[in-house]
Amino acid sequence: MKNRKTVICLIGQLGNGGSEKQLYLFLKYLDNSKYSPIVVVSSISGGSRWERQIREEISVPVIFLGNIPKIMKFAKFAWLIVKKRPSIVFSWSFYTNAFCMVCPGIRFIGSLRGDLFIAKSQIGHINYQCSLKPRHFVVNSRFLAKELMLERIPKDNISVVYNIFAQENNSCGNLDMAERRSMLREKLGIPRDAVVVAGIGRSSPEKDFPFFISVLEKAGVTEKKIFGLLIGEMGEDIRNKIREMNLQDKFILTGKLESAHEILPAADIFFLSSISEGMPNALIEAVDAGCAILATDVGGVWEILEPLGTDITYRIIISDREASSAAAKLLFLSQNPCFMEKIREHRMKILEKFNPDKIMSEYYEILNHGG
Amino acid sequence: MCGISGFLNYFNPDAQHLLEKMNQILFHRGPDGGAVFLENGTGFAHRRLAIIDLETGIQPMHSQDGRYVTVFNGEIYNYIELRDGLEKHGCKFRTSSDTEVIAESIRIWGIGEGIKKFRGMFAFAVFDRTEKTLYLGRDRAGIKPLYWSKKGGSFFFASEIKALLAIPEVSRKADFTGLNDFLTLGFPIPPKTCWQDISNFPPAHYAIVRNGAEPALQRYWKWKISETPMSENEAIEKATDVLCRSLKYHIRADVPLGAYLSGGIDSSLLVCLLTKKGIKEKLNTFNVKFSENSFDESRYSEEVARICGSKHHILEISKGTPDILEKVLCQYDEPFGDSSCVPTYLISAIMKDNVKTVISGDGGDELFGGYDRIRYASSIYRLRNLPMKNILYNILSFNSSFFGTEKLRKYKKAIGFSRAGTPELFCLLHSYFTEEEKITMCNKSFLLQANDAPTWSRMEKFIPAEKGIGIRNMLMGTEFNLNLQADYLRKVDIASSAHGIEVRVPFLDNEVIDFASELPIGMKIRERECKYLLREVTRRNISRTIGNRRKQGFGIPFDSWSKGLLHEYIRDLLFSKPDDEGIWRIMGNRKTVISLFEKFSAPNPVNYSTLSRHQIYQRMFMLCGIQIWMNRHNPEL
Repeated sequence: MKNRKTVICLIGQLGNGGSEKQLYLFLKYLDNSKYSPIVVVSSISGGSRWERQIREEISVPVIFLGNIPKIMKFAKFAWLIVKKRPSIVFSWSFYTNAFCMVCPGIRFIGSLRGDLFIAKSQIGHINYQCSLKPRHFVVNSRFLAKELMLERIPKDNISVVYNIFAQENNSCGNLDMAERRSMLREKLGIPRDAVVVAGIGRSSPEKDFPFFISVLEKAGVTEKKIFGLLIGEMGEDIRNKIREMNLQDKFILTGKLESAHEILPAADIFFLSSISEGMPNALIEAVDAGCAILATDVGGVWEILEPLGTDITYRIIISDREASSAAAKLLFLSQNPCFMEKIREHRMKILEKFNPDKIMSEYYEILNHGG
Repeated sequence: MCGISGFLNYFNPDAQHLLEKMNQILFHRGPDGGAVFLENGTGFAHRRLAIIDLETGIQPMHSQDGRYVTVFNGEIYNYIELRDGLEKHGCKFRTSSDTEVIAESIRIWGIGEGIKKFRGMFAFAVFDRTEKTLYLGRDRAGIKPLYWSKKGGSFFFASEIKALLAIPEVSRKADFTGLNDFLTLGFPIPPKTCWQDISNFPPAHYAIVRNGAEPALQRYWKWKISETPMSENEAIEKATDVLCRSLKYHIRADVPLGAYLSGGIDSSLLVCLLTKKGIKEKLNTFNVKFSENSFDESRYSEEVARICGSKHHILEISKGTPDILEKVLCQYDEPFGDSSCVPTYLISAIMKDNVKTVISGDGGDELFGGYDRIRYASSIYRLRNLPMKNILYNILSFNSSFFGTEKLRKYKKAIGFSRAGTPELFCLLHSYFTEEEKITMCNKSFLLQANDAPTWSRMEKFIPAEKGIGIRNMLMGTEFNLNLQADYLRKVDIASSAHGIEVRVPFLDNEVIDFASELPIGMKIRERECKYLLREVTRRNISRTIGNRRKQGFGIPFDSWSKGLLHEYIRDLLFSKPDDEGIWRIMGNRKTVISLFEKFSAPNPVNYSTLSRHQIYQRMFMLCGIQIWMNRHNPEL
């Protein structure tokens, strides 16, 4: 264990989001006979699920830089570098890429896991320019690589590493999909013959749940059996919107859940209504749960669904964010069980791309040679 | 102008039928005759537009000993001199055509040396029946077109894409990288086309193809800047001399010859040298006239015609119709973004009633620095050393009424451009859709299937690599190596061949090209003047008014045309398709396209924050081009 390489994984915050989950999975699968990871968070502790699991389940130390001015954070991190002497610093967030400025002589790997144009509009120019400084970048979709290339980052300095998807155990044991579905529907009080359309996430503007609701409302005019299932913590605005549209009987809101995978199999269709995504984990989970898919044309969607072929994907991806055309696609799906089945048939092919062993071998390649 | 097509190693029972079909598809390129040759899986087809040796120049042409078979599109202007040289080596000629010279040159000098001696415009295929070898070659600048495809051990070639699409083995899959580059430049970057299975044969190259093997491509000439100091008077004298010599070669024809006369520097100078230097006494000249004043150059062309004493014909073009737009764009077999293809097509239609061969000023801008954007580029480059330019750029990016003024927006744009590398700057200076626009407007599927890297990253090979030649020479070299072949010459070839007319381009003669590459950059672009030397020659030989004229693009008044029938047609063409069909398989963001169309349809020009009026109509023209291409060919996307 003496020759283990110290890897500092630097992240902006350790909340309950998808990036944090990916960090947890990366650390979980990382070969600890070769690498000794430390997580550094450039903000304060939030006591999230992933923070807990990283600390307790896989025993990786977590250091918080605290709620101090940025310049102090840089100084503190520089001191940490001197103290820990890491072989590699792996910035997990785009915003923390700027810390490469205080890591001279150390292999620094930057990341981009969300839309670059949105990052550009959210952080200041200097911060943005500094975040583009690392010599090597890891991105989790080819589309993000394309965005980085527009900022004149050479193609050879960008590695595309997809998200890790690890199947979680479910409480339904060995029940087949149909049995699980009817059991869950009974539990949630959803009619057995309903066409259940699920959405996952916190109600942030990027997820655009109002669009989700509008589409279901439009489709519901023709298909009375359509039922919405919103998994995750929804704000009052979403509840109000449902009330305003008089759709209380057509929606079930599960509230905050540790994981969506227990509930997802209740749905026939998963509808991703986001405005922007880096690589939507929820979509991969929905594929795993056997749902048919309807999604807006955001980052990562085409790459996840690529194995379906263009004839299928053009029918289930919404490129113009028009509620009426999205509703038409939803109706097409709901009225064509054979088409939904075709999507399910490709499930394993889609999940193969996100296999932990495959993804980790790509990470090892970068840890050994990138940066 | 002829049409050639053929294959090697194609053992299909329907080969004869296919050959005849390909030849028939290229009928328009050569209405004067046609023939085919087929032997053991090798086939050649030829449609002839008879220009030289009307009696015996029939193709496919067999050499004296029957060993070589040749099909050829174009003219070798120095064929008389080459014949003299070849006869000294014991060659005997059966005809007085330039075609026969090609095979004999390959026999005596080999293709690598022989092709260097050709002075003209050409794309040829020669089959050596003894060695079972196919030789292909294309002229230096890419005046004459040639496309090829290799499928399952068989090799196919043709003058136009449409002939290759007739081959069952060639798929109709669209090439996403080609389409992506089209959105940025108005054409796919060669050798790519918008078809996955079809490639553009590179200019200044020859290829040796043997049964089943990969074609061995070899470059035989490269555009090189080798500036030689010379005085202005010396340069003017030399320019006049080389152009006159070139014109003497270019009028070698056994059919009536005319000239395209726009009233701009290049065409005026050529017409003037032809008539005033006694090279050609009686000359028909042609131009188009639009009712929109800003597009009408006819008064200038009439003045030059009066000075030179040519018989001038003017075609008046009224409003554009859907029929014209479709007819023209369908000729290109892939999306084509240069809207001047429309007037070029229309003028070719009237020229064909009077002449069979036409002299044109193409190439003058690329060789002698005719584009304002090259002049701007050097100013932009100077901004590279501006202190704190990033901070300044950010200040100018503030969205306020003060920073929103036109002048400051231009500064911001210039500073933004100055941060780009040479290939990127080249794209920005031309750009129809920028990379950022493509990301926001296009389907992610389309973008991911296209090459991941931005268009500019595929342009390195077209940029002259000589050190210390300066940004202006680099960009001019790129114009010559890339835009000339893929845009301007292609536009002219397709538009003229659709009417069975041959266009000759004296500026692209070997000697003129060599002279231009020696000419110091200061003789091409001066502080406030593009194409300085040619202007000076014009001022001295024709008139100061013509010599001082600002460059005017040969565009169409698409803006005003769009108010009529065309408006409804475009709306229907683009927006009647559901979002998983037609153009929406490429352009995902329907709202942005609708907003573009609304701006395009607006009755009065308004102050647009980001796009000029011209940029808006140019983008609409391109989108129409894609949809018309899809309607016509139904490519697999």
